[in-house]
Amino acid sequence: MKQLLFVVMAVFLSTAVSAETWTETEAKLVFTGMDINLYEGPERGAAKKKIISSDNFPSKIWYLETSKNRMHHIRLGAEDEAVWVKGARVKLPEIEGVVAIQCERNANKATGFSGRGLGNRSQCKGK
Amino acid sequence: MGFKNIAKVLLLSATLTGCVTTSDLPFIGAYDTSDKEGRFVELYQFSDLTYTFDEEKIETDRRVMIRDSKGLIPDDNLAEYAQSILDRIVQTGPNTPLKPKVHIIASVAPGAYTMPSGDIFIHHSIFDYSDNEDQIAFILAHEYSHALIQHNRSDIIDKLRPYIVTALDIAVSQTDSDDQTKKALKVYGTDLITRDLLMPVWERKKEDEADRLGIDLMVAAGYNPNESIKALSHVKAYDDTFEAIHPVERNALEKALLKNDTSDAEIKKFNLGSLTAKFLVEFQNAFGNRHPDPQERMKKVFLYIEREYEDAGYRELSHLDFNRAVFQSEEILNKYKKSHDLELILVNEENISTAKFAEITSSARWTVTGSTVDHAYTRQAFAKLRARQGRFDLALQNLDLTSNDDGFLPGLMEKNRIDWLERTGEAEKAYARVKEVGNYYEWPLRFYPDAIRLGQRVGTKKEVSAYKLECTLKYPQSRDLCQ
Repeated sequence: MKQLLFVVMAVFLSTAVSAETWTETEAKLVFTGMDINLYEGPERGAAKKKIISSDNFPSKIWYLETSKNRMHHIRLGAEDEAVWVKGARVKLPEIEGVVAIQCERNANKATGFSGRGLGNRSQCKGK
Repeated sequence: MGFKNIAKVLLLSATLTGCVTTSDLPFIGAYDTSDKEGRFVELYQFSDLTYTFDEEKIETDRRVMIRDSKGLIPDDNLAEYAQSILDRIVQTGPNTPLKPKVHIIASVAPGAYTMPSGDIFIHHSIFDYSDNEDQIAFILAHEYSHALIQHNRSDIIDKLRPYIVTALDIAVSQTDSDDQTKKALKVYGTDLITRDLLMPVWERKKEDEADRLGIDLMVAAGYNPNESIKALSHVKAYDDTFEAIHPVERNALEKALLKNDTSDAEIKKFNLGSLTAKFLVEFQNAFGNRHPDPQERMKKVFLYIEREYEDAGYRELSHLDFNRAVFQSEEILNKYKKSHDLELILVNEENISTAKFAEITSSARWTVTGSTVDHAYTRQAFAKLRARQGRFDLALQNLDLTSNDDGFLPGLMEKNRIDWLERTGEAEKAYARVKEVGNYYEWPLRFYPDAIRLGQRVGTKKEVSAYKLECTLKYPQSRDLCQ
């Protein structure tokens, strides 16, 4: 009985992994005002399939996967062809998660206080 | 008011001195060379620079960092891992005698600093908000770049301040402004204008340079430069989320002016006449933007990568060692998170029920067990909880159980110790401690009010007068706090 269950589970899992599951998700541009290149593949030298202006990039896209060099495999619309886009240009908050940036309320220092820092605005919201 | 004239005279006189070049001048329009083709590491003449080691300076820097923070993490795992990344960057970078060391400061906010000695301090939160080694590599490479290019604030101040101050004095005397404005300017002083208003302009240029060289260095070390955008987005998120408060220390005036806040409270805080405040706002506007906007900065970095390193942007990201290091230090990171949550509760909740106190006390006890038993970060939160419960004796005990540096805790903890000693009727001990701590940390502003107040209670008039005078001379812009 246990063996049968294992076989059923194995078949179920392998099907789930191999099937292409496109998910509609929110897309946010990392910065605006620049065209976005859409590529045929995630690898170096992949041909550009399309260039889209940031104004025309949809706020919701269809997502399949992210490559090991952070290229997202997406479709701009459910019926559009699949393309790859750089993760440095497009954020997918529901997929990548949102990093909660904290504030050290009582510390007297923050970025850029003493030596040269990563940034230069600092400090927490005063209460 | 002749602000354009002031700017012109400033630029002209600085150039005419022959001691500075246009590339040293502030980032104003035509002087912005960040779009110049080519890799920064290849264009920059590192051979023109002299790097010197100063053991004493390294120790002073380390002490300053501890003084102004919640302490270093007394655990080697994360520091050794970060050091291995930096070593890789240093090895493949320009050949210099620099051997920077990485220290991990306990702080949940994003942050990283390079001290003039070349040592790098990063906040432990980098391991919370990064998700691969490439992002950490950018932060370290960026910081190391500041050391490589010698972005040492004191160097620039030493080199340029006399010329700027002289130029400003001339410019002000030649403007057609009325006598009141001139008087107001004298009250604030052109020297302080230079420090609070002009130096931040230089910082923008320095950050741009360090961004570009940082990219060069991380690529040479084998990392994917596109992850720098992800790392910078944390800075942007930090900027977006939190407003600036106004500590009466460096750049405080500039921060107030950023908000265009010339309300009575602000003017009083900085000892400014309303006329001076208005003048400074206009002066600041004449010099344009002070800080790099994170969005613009990310865009610049991205364009630089696309132009110089498009191929490297396809490299696989490095997760393995990062995940291992974070996993090994999971206990510390989790306990620090809990300590931070605890502090937030103490700050945000005015009325804490008995049941809630019992719950958070139990959490606080957990944070000071195991490998974090003597960490400043966890002990500090527990101590604050005890102080909130009115148990200053137990709060002080927590400080005594913290691992220390030459017998001294971070400045903020020592300040708490002085306060709690005073509250438990130990004014003489508190006074003795503020003197010891003040001397050890070379008297930052925050210890003077304690020394003056306690001196008035248990010290001599002579001592109090000396503290007042010393404080006023050292921190003239904050002299209200020296009374």
